[in-house]
Amino acid sequence: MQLEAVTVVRVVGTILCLTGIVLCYLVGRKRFTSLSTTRQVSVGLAVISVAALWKLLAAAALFAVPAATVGVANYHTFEGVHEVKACNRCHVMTPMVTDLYDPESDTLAARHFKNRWIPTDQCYACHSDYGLSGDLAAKAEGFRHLARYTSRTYTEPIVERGNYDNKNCMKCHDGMPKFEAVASHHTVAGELGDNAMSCLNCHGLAHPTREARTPGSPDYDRLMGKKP
Amino acid sequence: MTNLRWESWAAILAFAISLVYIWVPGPYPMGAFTFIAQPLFLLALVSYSVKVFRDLRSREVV
Repeated sequence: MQLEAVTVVRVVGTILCLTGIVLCYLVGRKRFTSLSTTRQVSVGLAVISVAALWKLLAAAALFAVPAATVGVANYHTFEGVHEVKACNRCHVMTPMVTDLYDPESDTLAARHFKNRWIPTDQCYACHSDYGLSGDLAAKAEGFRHLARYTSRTYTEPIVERGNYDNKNCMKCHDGMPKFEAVASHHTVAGELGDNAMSCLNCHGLAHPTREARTPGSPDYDRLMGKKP
Repeated sequence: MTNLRWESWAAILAFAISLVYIWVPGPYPMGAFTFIAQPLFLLALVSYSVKVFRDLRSREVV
């Protein structure tokens, strides 16, 4: 039987959280000022004072177990956000995901999905810049999105901040025979490299238009997955 | 060392939020974990470290 990473994270995370809650409850109720330094207790092979034992438990409750929990939960975050369903949990992303899966749509995202040009984690593949620093920047941007969404300081339709980096396209297309065979790609190679020109100028919209994603528009309910 | 009452309750709250987030990874649990649970863990750790340091200094260990 092969366990999925998410199952392992959930089991380990649950054990850590429950252990932490029990330890903190015990440590929080203990009066450290009245602990005996002379009474000894046996802990495995070691014999230590009662005061030392409780100080070790306090270190576990307030440092070791929280550190492990934060590590596991952040792993859960960083791995989980690669999935399309993670993006779709925020309703402002639903129009993009509905369109992605729509076989009738001709947006770039939908074409990449239906032709299996990007087999998995389609959102993350195009919306995280290439390389370690790019991934970290994508994470930082993700935290900004999270703060805006949970504090409800956003308006629909959402608008991308800045310009889309062509490197996200070029990391797959650059050097491919079909890409190299198009003369205009060589003509504008400099502009594409400097982001002075967007790939979308010639290849169409990546996602539904802002008008279609605006609440109240004729396409909004369909993009939000609501039946007419 | 003095008691660790509020540090423990802060950590318990943070553990509870983390547990919810691990099982229900939606935007609000993720926001609660990121912006409430992690700072609570940090506050509890800093306060605990200060108390440990004061305890060690009172015994002239450091």
